[in-house]
Amino acid sequence: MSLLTIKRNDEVVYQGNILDMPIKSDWIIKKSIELFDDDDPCIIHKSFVIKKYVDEFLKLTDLKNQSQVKLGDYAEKLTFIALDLTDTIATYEE
Amino acid sequence: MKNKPLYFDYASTTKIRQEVYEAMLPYLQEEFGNPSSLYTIGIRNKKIINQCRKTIASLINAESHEIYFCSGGSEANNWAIKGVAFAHPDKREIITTKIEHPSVLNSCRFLEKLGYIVTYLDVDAEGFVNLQELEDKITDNTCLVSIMTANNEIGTIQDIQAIGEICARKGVHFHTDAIQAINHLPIDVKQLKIDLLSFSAHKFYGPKGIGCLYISKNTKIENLIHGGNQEREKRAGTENVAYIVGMAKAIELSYREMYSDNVRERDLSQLLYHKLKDAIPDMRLNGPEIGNRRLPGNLNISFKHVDGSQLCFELNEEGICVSTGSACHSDMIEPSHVLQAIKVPDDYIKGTIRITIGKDTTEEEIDKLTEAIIKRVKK
Repeated sequence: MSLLTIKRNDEVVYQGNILDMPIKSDWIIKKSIELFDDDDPCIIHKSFVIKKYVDEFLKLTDLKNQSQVKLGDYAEKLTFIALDLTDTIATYEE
Repeated sequence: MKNKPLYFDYASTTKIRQEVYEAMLPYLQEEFGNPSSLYTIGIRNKKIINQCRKTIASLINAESHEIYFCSGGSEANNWAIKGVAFAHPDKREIITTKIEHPSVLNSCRFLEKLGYIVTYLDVDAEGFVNLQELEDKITDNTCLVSIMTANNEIGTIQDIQAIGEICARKGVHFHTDAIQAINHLPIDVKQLKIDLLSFSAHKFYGPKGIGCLYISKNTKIENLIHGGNQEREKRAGTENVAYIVGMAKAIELSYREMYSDNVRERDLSQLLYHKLKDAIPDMRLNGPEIGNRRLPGNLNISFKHVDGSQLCFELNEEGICVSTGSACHSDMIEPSHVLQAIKVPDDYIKGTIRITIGKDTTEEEIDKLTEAIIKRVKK
């Protein structure tokens, strides 16, 4: 499992498999329309869309190569994540 | 121009080969006549359909009036199962296996709702049916046995000759879904005692949307699609002439090249298997060992504690197409029913991918795929 931890002032905001990171449902639909032209995707397509967002997240933050990343610096481009990223720090463990 | 993907999903579908495409072209424009019409351009199309029927019949040792064109493998399977069941109202039992394609399993489940009794045979760890169990389960009320020639996921080739003999001895109709097998195994429906056989053109470099059901002349079957008198009043709808021509051409070429393709695809899958196994020793091969009891070019493998769907996703990001071992069930993604039936261990089952090799696969592509998989699984 690839473990993502997001903390704010030592308080855990999210900890778990990176593929379970909360993604806003309207963004899932938006991406599904972009990729499949489908506003009612099946579970397999939803899961593909989530992988796309996770991939975007990792590429944008370069988290795999950093010990920690301030997510607030990327907040404008990470609006698909269903978490308040203000003052948060992320770490990642494969 | 988009980069050409590295394609390793030939069991899913294939591209139309050039000779097939060229054979189909006239029937998409100039030769457009309705085959049921009694004027020259219609008559010509009726004639070409019947010639295609004869071509296909001769390849599987059937008679031409035993070949029925339909929309594909799923329709052929639905028709075989429901059609035989409805034509024998006095016999309400069907026998199949737990590893059939959903078009067979869901047709059976539909019949269960109508009061039919369906037996789903277990398979062993390699996906083989126990022939004694099959024989024991057949009763006086059994109207049909439906067992696939070869499995689409794990490549297991059943002993169709033995199954055909059991069914013939017991006086039960035998249907086989040969959709994955038809371009790999020479099939003689008479010798194998097959009453119904399904196949689909897009698995052997023909077009999607066209398939065939062989129905032996002694098999009573009810229509699935009612309407006009096409297909000797058994399957209504204006014939898809271009696609029928494409299918006949594709199967003819496929039979001609079957032996050399099989040898080549088996060699490439051996090469791939050994390269991966050397680098990842705890990799697991699902289904029979590579050889005569497994479809050439089929490699269904599992990696311990790996997410197979994520692996497929990452390979796709590099332009590599492989298939996962998962399926969608009522809003859940679960390991496929085939992997569950052969009891792939828990720590492997979610790390499954299916790689299928075809006509265009090269050794260089195998090297690229191997490298990409090893890089991800060993990280």
